[in-house]
Amino acid sequence: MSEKSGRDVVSDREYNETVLSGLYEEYYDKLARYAYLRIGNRSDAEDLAGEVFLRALKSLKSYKDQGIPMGAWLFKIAHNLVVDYLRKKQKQKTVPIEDVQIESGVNPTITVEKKLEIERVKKAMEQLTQQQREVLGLRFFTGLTSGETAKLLNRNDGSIREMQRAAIEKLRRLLSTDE
Amino acid sequence: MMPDNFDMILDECIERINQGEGVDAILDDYPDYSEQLRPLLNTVLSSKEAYSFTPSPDNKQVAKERFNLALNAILQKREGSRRWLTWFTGQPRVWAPAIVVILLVIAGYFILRPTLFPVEPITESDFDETTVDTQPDADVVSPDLQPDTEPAAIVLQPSPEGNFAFLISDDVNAIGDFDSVIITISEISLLKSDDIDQSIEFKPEQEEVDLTLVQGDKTQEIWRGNVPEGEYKNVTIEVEKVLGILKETGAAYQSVSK
Repeated sequence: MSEKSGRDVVSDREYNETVLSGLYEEYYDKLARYAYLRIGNRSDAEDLAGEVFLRALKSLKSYKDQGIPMGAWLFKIAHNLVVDYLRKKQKQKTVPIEDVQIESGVNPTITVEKKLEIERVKKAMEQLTQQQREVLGLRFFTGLTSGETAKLLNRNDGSIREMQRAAIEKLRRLLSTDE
Repeated sequence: MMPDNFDMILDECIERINQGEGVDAILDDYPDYSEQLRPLLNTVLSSKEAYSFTPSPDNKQVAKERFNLALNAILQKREGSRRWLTWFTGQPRVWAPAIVVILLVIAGYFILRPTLFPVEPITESDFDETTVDTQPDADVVSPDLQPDTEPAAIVLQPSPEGNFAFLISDDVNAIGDFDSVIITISEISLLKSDDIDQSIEFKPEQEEVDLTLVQGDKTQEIWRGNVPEGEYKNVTIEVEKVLGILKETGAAYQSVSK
């Protein structure tokens, strides 16, 4: 493989900057939902989604070596930020504030039931391992296939599918015993 | 062809849920597994619903503006470099003296270095592995899930002969109404500005500082030790407690960070 000239490298970076900028609208929400599942705090999840793009911009020169689509690479950065966030939170010994928001103008009985159901799911989700939550977060909210998820996490496809099934079964057990 | 592995079938079903298909429609294609799949797919739907929220448009806009600012700064910097490079490469007579100057600077550095820096500069590799906190918690993240860019924290120990001293000072009159303002600092972290962010952390030897005694030119050293060479972009001071006593009333105000 021949060495790229300085001009080519700059062109690559300019191209990647344009691609990254174009991904903002589509990926900000996905990143926020992924982070929310991992850290359980909506406001911090939104901050983290914005931070992902700043980190990506700063590290674009290393992107070419990743061998994964830029969208998936953003989730790799998000994973790093989540890990860093959890590490700091653990040191601070803070408890995430529940921040369920219910839309106005709906039947209050349904709202309460829905809120309770959401709370039940979240409590069950908290009992999964970080690895299981990671896999479910990536599979449910990012649009990544199990194969892409496997590549991102340096695993093989089979182990991701197995972990996914085990996590969903555990969630189901937790939710059914809680009923 | 239908896959014979249940994990693969479930995976296909999740893919179809992600694309917006309903559970009944999906199960129609897997009649043999319908009983097993239904509760799992309902669990998938419940989970997705619990975490599906629409981020605040305002927060999204603010974050996008920050991103655009950062992008524009990069573009402007690059444009400036290009203009300089274009001028420089268009001046053939500039090359010879420029190369001489660069060589002199490089040679000067190596000749003068033993005099200027009698002690070998500290590098990260000089630190004992036992002081490196790269393992957050087994439950927080598995080591095999940590990508290459995992931010690591190096915990430093104090040393009286260290190359770095951390001093605290405060603006004059910023706290003029107080008889004393004692802050308790639990930790200080420095963030390197390399490609891979690296946090350097240390606990102050002197945890408490009365800010009223370190105003203006006055300072108080709270830590000294060896910090790895490099560029740092951020300093974070974790203040555990602030206790202020008002001059006029003697009233005490305390803030504790949990």
